Amino acid sequence: MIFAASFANPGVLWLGLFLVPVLVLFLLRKRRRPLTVGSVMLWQQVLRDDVARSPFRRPREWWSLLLLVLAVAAAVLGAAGLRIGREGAAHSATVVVWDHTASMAASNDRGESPHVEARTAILGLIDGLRKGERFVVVLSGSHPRRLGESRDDSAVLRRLVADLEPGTTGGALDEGLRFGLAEARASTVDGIGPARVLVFSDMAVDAVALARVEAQGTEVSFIRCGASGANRGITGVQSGSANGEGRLLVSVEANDLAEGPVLLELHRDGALIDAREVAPTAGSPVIASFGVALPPGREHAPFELRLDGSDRLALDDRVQFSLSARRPPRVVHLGAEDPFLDALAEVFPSMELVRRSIDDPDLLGEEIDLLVVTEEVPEGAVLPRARRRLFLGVPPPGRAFSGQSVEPRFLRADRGSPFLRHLGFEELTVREARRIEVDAEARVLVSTTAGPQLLEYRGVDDTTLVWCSRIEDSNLVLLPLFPLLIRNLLDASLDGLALDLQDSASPLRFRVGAQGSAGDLQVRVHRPVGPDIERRARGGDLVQFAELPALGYHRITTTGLEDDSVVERGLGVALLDDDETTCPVFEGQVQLAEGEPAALMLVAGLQPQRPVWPWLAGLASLLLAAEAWSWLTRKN
Amino acid sequence: MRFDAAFEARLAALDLALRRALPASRRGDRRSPRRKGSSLEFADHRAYAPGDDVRHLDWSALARLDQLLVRVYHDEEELELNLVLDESASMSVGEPPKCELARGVVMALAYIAAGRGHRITLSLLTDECTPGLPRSGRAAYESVREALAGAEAKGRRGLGDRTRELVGRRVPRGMTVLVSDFLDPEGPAAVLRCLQRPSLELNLIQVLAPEELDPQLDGDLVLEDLETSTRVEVSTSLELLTAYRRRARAFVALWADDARRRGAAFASFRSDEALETVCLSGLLREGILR
Repeated sequence: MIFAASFANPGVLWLGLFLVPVLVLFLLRKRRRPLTVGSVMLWQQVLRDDVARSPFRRPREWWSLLLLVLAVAAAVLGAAGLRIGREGAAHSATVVVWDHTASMAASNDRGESPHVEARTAILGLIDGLRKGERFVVVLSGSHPRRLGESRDDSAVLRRLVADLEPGTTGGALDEGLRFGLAEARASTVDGIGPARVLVFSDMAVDAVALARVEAQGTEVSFIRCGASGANRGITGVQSGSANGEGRLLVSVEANDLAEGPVLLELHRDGALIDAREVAPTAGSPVIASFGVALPPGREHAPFELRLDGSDRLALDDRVQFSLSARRPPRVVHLGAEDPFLDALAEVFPSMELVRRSIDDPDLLGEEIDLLVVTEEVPEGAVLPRARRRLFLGVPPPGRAFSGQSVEPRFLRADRGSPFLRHLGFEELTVREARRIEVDAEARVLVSTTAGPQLLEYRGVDDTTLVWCSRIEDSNLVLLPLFPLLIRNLLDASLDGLALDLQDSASPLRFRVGAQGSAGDLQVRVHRPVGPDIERRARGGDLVQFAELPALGYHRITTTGLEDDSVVERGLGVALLDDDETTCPVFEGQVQLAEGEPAALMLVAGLQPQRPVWPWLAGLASLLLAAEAWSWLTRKN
Repeated sequence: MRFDAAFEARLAALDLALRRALPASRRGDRRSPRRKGSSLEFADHRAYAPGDDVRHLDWSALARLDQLLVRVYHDEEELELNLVLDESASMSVGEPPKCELARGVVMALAYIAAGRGHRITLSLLTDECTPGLPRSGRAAYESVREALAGAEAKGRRGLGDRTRELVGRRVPRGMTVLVSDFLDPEGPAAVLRCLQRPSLELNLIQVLAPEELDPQLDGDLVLEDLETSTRVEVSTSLELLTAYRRRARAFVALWADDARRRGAAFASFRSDEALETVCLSGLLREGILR
């Protein structure tokens, strides 16, 4: 870092020519008035004494000239926007990658947060911009995006930066860095370069992911904002049922600086109804269980989970959500009509069972709890999303049966699987079983002497079970275990309460009305922050809003435009991000893919050039005031 | 210049003050062993003042003029008054010019001395320093008045220089009154040294212009000395003017201290002071008149 100076408006320096008339006026004024006196003897003695007292004092008039010159120089340099300060090599383009994840909102004892530190530093960079310098701000959150750019007018960008609130989602800083590097390379291509990237973050990041980023010669510096501190937060909420009662499972995690227990409260309709004391430690989340129920006569109710105590990040200490009476589970059968499957509707009257074909155009828009597939899926066909899928005698897409075995005998079952709860396969007979490759993603739930009979593939938000024999080739559907298997696959869908909660990194999304219901619906969302938003929809539609939602409770009102029926429900949005909650402490250097460490400095070490024009204006005023005072005292 | 009758009457009541006994200058108490009728030389008449010897009253003048007059004889007026007036160019400076008051003071002293029968010598210190001849009586006063009327303050030589030349030509006796602004770079020592004598009562009367004591100047000036043409560049300021005033006061005090240390009387006046005030109050206060 070198000490450097630059001008925001160098063209104004021509005002320095005003020094010429100042000098001319001074020289003209310097002409003295002649005066004849009786004797200069006393004057000579006075001037001699004056010089003797102050041997280094220049004649008064030269002080006056110096004051005027300094005042004009200060005014010109100030108008030219002189900036001084430590600065690296001149960059004509700077890309700021601003960590906009929730952990940046964590505050210290003084109420300061990394977000505020970063904002202050970025505003300082904006104020120190040279004319024509390109400055881009990229936000790194759930989805990296450009906040704004300044080339000649920084006022708009400055306002955007000053007004930006901390993010409420998690995110990957490496993705934001890649976005910023792309912006920097664009500057070089445009001939503006060289460009640099400054990353402002609390560095609660995945160092391994950062090490995969290639800077490709672009200068990258990481500016660490804020300091580490203790934090606990709610990272997961699930609803379930046990013994016919609704249950709420809450996951609480902590970082390595948090110590001691904390109280977890459950509120319904604003009133405390239950509490648990939990003591999570780093790497060991605690699961708290609450029994929940809706008030009599109500279809839904607002709930809130609160972590007592104060820690660095408050965004993960409160989760607002709604529990509603669950809608009937929706089971879709893809395949030919089968009386055994149709009989399930009689076993579970609350279940909604429909049969579809693979080429049904409405299939993909359906929200399905259990998809039962009994016919082969053509190559390239897209199956609808479902929470659970059961392939009976047909392979799931991307896999194939190879070979077959005749009359394998039951060998063992994985009793630990929740899908096999209360199930016994001792009476299972299989006339012909298909062989399927068991890859690393598969879990064998039931095995026979000829290989796996029931496998489980657990996806990100769905689970697939494959029964390796056709319905007619085993006595599965005849045994009482089949309805139990179906029940286990539907689990809490059959009873209990539906949890209306989503994470803040996903757009607000919900289904309205019942499919096939007549008439248009007016959907109105009452948000915790900002004005209400409205949308028209039809029954069964999946309504989604593009912008990320604010944290908190959203109240959704659906009005039938033809029958004026009104349905209300709630939907909570919470952080629910364990990475942001645990706020890992970043140690050591930042290593990028090219092997060279990137600079890691504290925000205090970033000292952009600062404009000094206010000081120069003040100096010019003081100098002019001194000259005026000098003139006044001379006159007196 | 002429004095009005009232001022002349007041001057007539005054006399030169001697602070010490000078050789052949004791007045009033000396009894000359004159022979009656012829050995005392009549000098002049003057008005009777309380304390005068009544034997010297001129009774015939009283009968004739109805005025109390006393005869003054040469034996009584043994005091010689040397009036030395600085007529250098610097004395022409001032509002009013210093030379006006200076000449007025000289004239007043001459009037007093003449009334008292003293002998008067007037020397004008121009560039030529020719000492005057002693005269006495009213004729002496009139000759002083005429000389002053024709005087011009335009000398350019230094005071010390001119004083030395004057004394070199004629050593003064009796009382010497030097009237000047004393703005001489040689300082008081040079003047006092050549004038100070056991046989001489020395009185110094300084006249300075108001603007020489408290200049009201502003701006950037180049001051030119009227006598030497020396130039000094000055940029006035509050601080500078304050320092000048301080220096001017110190200058006056220096002359006063040095004069008194050498047994001389010193009086300093501003040229804008009234002649009456100077003569009837100032000179009395300083012990030059009584």
